[in-house]
Order: sequence, then structure tokens, then C-alpha cells
Amino acid sequence: MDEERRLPGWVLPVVGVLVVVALVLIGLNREPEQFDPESPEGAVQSYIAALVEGDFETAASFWAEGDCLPASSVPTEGAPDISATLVSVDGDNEEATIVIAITDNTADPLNGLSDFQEWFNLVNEDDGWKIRQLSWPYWDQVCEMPS
Amino acid sequence: MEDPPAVLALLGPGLRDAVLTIGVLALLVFVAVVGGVTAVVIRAVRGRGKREEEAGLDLIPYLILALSVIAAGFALAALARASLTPDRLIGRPTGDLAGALAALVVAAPITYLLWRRQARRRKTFPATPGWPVYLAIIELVFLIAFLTAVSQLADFLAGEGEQTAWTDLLIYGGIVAFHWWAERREAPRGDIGDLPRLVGSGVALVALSIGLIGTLEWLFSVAYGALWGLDDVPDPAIPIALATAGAAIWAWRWLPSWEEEPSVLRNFYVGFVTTFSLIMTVGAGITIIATLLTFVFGEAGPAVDHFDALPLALAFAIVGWALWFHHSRRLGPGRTAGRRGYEYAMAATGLGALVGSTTALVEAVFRPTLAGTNSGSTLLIIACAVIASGWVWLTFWRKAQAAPRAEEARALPRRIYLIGMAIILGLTAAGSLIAVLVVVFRALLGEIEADTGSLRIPVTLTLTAGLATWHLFDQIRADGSGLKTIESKPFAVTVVCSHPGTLATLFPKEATIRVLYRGDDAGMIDEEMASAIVAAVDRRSSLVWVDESGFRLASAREP
Repeated sequence: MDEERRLPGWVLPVVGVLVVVALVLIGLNREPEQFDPESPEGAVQSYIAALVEGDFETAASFWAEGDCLPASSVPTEGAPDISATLVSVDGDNEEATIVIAITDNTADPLNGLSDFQEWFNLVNEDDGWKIRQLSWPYWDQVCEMPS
Repeated sequence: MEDPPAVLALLGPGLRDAVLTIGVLALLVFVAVVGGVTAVVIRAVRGRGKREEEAGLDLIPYLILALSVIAAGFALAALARASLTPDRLIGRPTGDLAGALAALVVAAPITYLLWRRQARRRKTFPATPGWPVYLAIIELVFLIAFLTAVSQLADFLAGEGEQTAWTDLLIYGGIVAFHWWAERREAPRGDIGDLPRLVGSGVALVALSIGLIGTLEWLFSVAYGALWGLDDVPDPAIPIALATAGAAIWAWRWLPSWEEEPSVLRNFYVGFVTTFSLIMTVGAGITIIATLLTFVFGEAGPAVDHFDALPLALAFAIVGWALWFHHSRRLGPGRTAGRRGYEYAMAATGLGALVGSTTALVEAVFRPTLAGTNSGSTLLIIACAVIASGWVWLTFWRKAQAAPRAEEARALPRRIYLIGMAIILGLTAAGSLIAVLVVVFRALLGEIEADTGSLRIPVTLTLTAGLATWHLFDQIRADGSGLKTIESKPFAVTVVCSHPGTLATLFPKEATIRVLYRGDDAGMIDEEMASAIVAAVDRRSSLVWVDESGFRLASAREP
């Protein structure tokens, strides 16, 4: 093979490092997508944003009335430190199912998975989309049916 | 059929059967591929010259390089997913970025240093097996990842699937393309030099087959639905995407001409694909014929429901036949190693299926019913399987028997077929006989009343597997007698060389050796070459020519 046509040995590593640095910068500086708050995915986005900010009362305002609800509006482990992406949206004008991928930024990578998916079932009520059948992040709480 | 494992019992019957079928098929394919590759690597190592021996196999550095490239590749894909994937709801992907960066910081330097080290070593030792093995591993891993990304993207674009990362397509495709480029710059050599292209061809062929079967099933289902009404029409997005991507990669990896004569590995690949595709075609053919027969003679329901399996069966038959047609023409004329492997594999499949289906037929015929007669449909389906498997076995066994016995008896595929099937069927017969005798002895000892109903399957299996085993051992004995006759037959070898070395001492006493001196030093025979010549002559009268490039062999008239 013609030696003169070979690239210098440092070119590929430098290009690789530049690509990685660029990807990291993009990842750190990209703002989340802004979904319409009147849409199912917008409701889930607002709900998770309230949880992350520790505004649990606002988060609880997204719970559907008449469903089995956690005993407390404060999550089991407090405000989560996560990033989340939308995986899928399914449903119609009455009901919707949103699947999101969550990465727990606080998880110890040597002590279990830090990536998981969560399903949110939503129902369209008079005052917008509401979430029912809660699990994350209220895993350990007793579910209480309304009287 | 015995009960499935407890874990599989949790699945639905349809999914469980699919998992069991796929599991068995995957195990068979895995064993066959690993066995073939191991055999060829051993052969390659034995056949290497002194220069290559100094380099060793070079497998460990290449395996570490492969692991680090895989880790770096998947970490880079995760990084790109975290940074560029749309529809982020909230937060910064610091967890994903940290994980990907950590993996890259460890794997990338190892990749870089080992890549340079191995590139330097390849200049000195260009024929070590490590390079093709490395390229094959990378091709296997990242081509599968790429095709998975293609199908996910197609599913998403069709509006059926979840959000998908288009960056996966770029990263995995880029890694595969880079290694194709590296392979073109420094083509792997030796007996396993074909390995990367064969792995690429195989992975692409699987994707192409799945895609074509799915696409044809969709087309036939649409036509069937238009004619007779069918609600369940499969979605074509993934099959069309897989067929397109698989066809392009397969054409790129398989169709260009090969620089060297077929190696053991390529013969194995072609024989395996030819066998598998014919089994596919015959299986689909049985399904179609049985469906027609059960409609006419069995207890069929409404025609539209009865024939709704036809689109899939037709798709399997067409794709299987096309694969068989293409690959069977690449087995070469005459009784090549690839053709022998294919024919004995088909004979083994036919014989095994014949024993199994015959047992199932006897069980179905004599199974007592509470009311009425046995299901005619079941009997027809099993009878079709018996006839088809018997036809397959007889056809391929007769082909093998029609070949000259002296040469055929020593062929490795025949020995594997005879001995392997004799062991498998012999153990089956022995196990069944034990099951029969347990019932008999318990009855004799007065513990239970003899339950002849439970003896139907073990008795039939003992007889069918026992008969097949007897037939196989009879052939092994006949081959052995033939070989003894061959071994006592005299043969003559004429060697054109500079010095014969110890060659004459290595031939058996039936050989007559004649040496013609070349008059130069270009054709010296060392001990390694002498052993290779004796193995290649294989007790046949031959003319051997030795020069600086090695030795060549031509058949000569028997004395």
C-alpha cells in the first residue's frame, strides 16, 4: 500500500477527541424541547419539571381525580435528579399513554441500572390532561382510593 | 413434547413455541459456526510456515482490540444519543454523558495503541489469523447493531415504533464502513482470510431473508385479503427496510469475485446456507401441501381461516428456493467438500425427521379416543412430514451411495454423518428401550398393571431409531471393509524435486516411489512438506512437482 497516502497517526485521535468534546458540549447546552402544555406530553413534561424543582404541590395538581393516589405528594426519595426523553405517545383525545426514558443522574453506575422507562397513563379532564396510576417516583407509598 | 422449562411456562403457547424454536435453531447455528471456525483455525495453524509461527496466532491482542473497539463504539453511540436525540423532556443528560465518557476514556486509548501496534505487526507477519478473526468479530457485532438500528428507524418512520436514535445508524454504519476500508487496504490472508466477508454475507443474508419473507408475506396477505377478506395484514415497514439494507450489504460482501479458490470455511458456509435454505423450502412445501390436503380430506373450518397461513408459507418457500438456487450453484461441480457437506447434512436432517415423524404418526394412529375417530387433519400433516423426510433422506443418501465408494468412504462429511447420527440415534434408541423396560419390569414385579398405552412412543422410537442405528453401523462397517481393500492396494508416486529428504520413509509399504531430480536447489523437500505430500497423495497414484512455491499434485494412472 502506498505509504504517502496514509494520514499522519495523530489525525484520527485528534478528530475523535474533537467529535467527543463537541458532542459533550452539545449535550450539556441543548435546552429541552418545549411541548404544548395542553398536550399529553406537555402535561408529563410540566409534571416532571415540578417534581425535579421540588414543587410537589404543583406536581400533585396533575394527578387525576378519582384514581388511586399516593398517600403523600412528597416522593419517596425527595426531588429526583434526572434527565428524561420522550419515547412514545399513544392514544386519542380521551386517553393517552406516554412512555419516557429516564436517566437517574445520582445513581451509582456500579450499583445497578441508572436508565429505565416509565409509563404514564393520562386522561383528558375538563382542566387539561391528568396523570393516573402513578408509580414513579412514588414507588414505596401506599396507594389510597378516594373516599 | 416434554414440558418446557419453568421460565418459558410463563409465556403464552405461541411465544413459547417461537422461543423454543428460535433457541434450538440459534443453538444449532452457533454450534455449527463455532465448530467450523474452530476447525479452520486449527487447520490454518497447522498449515502455517515458520515465519508465521514466530508471530504466534496473535489472537489475544486482536481480541482485546475487538473488545475495546466494541466498548468505544457503543459508548460513542450512547454519547451521540444523549447529545443529539430529539424530544428531551427535562434536565441535562449528565448521567448518560458521564457513563459514555468514562467508557470512552478507558477504551479509546487502548483501541488507538493496539490498533497501531497490530498495524505494525501486520507488516512483518501478514498472515496471522488474528486480523481476519478481529475483522469478523467487529463485522458481526456492528452489522447486527446497524441492521437493528435500521429496523427501529423504519418502525418509527412508519409510525409504529418508539422514538429512535438516528445517530446509531451513523455510528454503527461508520464503524462497519471503516473496517471494510481497512480490510481493502490490508486484505486478510490464509485459510481464514475469507472469514470477515463470510460473516458479513451471513449477517446480511439473514436480514435479507427476514426482510424478503416479511415483504412477500405482506404482499400475499394484501392479495389474500383483497380476494377473500383478511383482517390481520402484517406491517411492511421493518421487512422492507431489512430487505433493502440486507440486499445492499449482501451484494457488496458476497457477490464480488473471490480472489482465491474456495477455502474450507467458504465451502462450509455455502454448504450450510444451501442445506438450511432447502430445509426452509421443504418445510414450507409440507405446510402448503398439508394445508390443501387437510382442507379436502380433514376437518377444515371456513376456507378463509384455513388458508390464512398460506401467505407466510408461500413467502418461506419462495425465499428458501431462491437462496437454495443461488448457493447450490456455488458448491462447485463434482463431489466437492461443500457439496458433500450439504448432501450429508440433508441426509442427516431427513433421517432424523423420518424417525421423529414416524414415531409421531404411530402415536397419532393408535392414540385412543373418547369418542369418534382420530383427527384426520393431524394424521394428514404427520403423514406429509413422514413422506417428505423419507424422500429427502432417500434422495440424498442415494446420491452419496452413487459416488465411488473408495473416495466417498474417506470423506469427512460422510464420517461425521455416519458416526454422528449413529451416536445420536443409538442413544435415542437406548433411552427409549430403557423407558420400555421400566414399564415392563414394574409390571413383572407386580407394582402396577401393564399400561400398554404409555408404551406406544418408546416402543416405536426404539424400533425406528434402532433400525436407523443398525443401518448406519452397517454402513460404517462396509466403509471400513472398503478402506482395508484400498489400504492394501499398491500405488505409484513420481516426485520431481531437488532432494526428496525423508519423503520415501513416510509413505506406506504399498507405495512405489520414483524421484526425478530437477538439477537445481529450488525444490527441496523438508519434513513438514513431506508429511503434507503424503497426506495429499492419500494412497492414490500421483505425480508430484516441487518448486520454490511449494508442491503441486496431479493424478496418475494406477499401476
